[in-house]
Amino acid sequence: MSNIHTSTEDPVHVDEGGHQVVLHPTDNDLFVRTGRQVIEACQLSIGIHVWLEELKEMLAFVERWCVQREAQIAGCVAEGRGSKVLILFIPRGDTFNFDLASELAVLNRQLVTTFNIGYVELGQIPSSDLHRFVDPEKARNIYGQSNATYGAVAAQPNPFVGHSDIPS
Amino acid sequence: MEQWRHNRILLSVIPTSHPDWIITVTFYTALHAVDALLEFDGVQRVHSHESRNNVLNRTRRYEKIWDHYQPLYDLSRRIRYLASPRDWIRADDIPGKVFSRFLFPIENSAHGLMGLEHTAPSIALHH
Repeated sequence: MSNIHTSTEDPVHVDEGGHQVVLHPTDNDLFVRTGRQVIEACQLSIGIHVWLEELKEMLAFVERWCVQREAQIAGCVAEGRGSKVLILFIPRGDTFNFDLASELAVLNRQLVTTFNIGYVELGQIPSSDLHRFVDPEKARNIYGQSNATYGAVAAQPNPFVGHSDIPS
Repeated sequence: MEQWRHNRILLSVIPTSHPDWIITVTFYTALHAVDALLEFDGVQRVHSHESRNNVLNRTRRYEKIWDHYQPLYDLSRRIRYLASPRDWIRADDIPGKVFSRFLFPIENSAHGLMGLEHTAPSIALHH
């Protein structure tokens, strides 16, 4: 059983089966809320600590996937929304990329069968419309130059790739 | 199956000046072909896009359908909210890249898995 204590300023302390995990609300609180909803809605039978580890690994996997397709992908952001994780890709060029779309279908299957993360939705959108689909205060930049690429949308760095307070 | 036919007929009526709505109706045409298959297979509790996507994405029998359905779902999900949908998808690309690449394979797979002969007429867009 996990206990999560939150306030608007303080770090989040997750007590998960004896493991103490400290998460900073500004980086992680939305994903903590999403994780709890996903665990309940999808009956995943895992705790929030394990779910966050799965999320971290999944987003690192997605980042590597983007790097391998840098000729097609300009940027990628993720957002926890209700009981799902939404990952949006910005293709290079101004039009829907049909080849990338087919690759995303395969990636989507890979993600849900590899990571115990619940419902994950993938999509692609033009850079100029990113603000219509994600909250700039909550979206996490997974790949690409967020400020330069997304204009007014100040997507935050991916807190799960490269560093984390979640013990591995 | 009636809903599938009903939506499919509409595709030829929507003007190409509105590719966002052609895409939306294309998606719902595919969705009704999929729902007919799920009903045929006795799949229950598919009452939302999420539950339907979960079944398609996690079931080997539906793997081919998912590979074509997911791009169409994504496209229809976003295009209605874009500032310039006609820039995102050109009307000229719809027959070759949306119908042929996504819709027809979904219909073929769904009908094939139900043991039906696929006899849908071609779709001529309204210019």
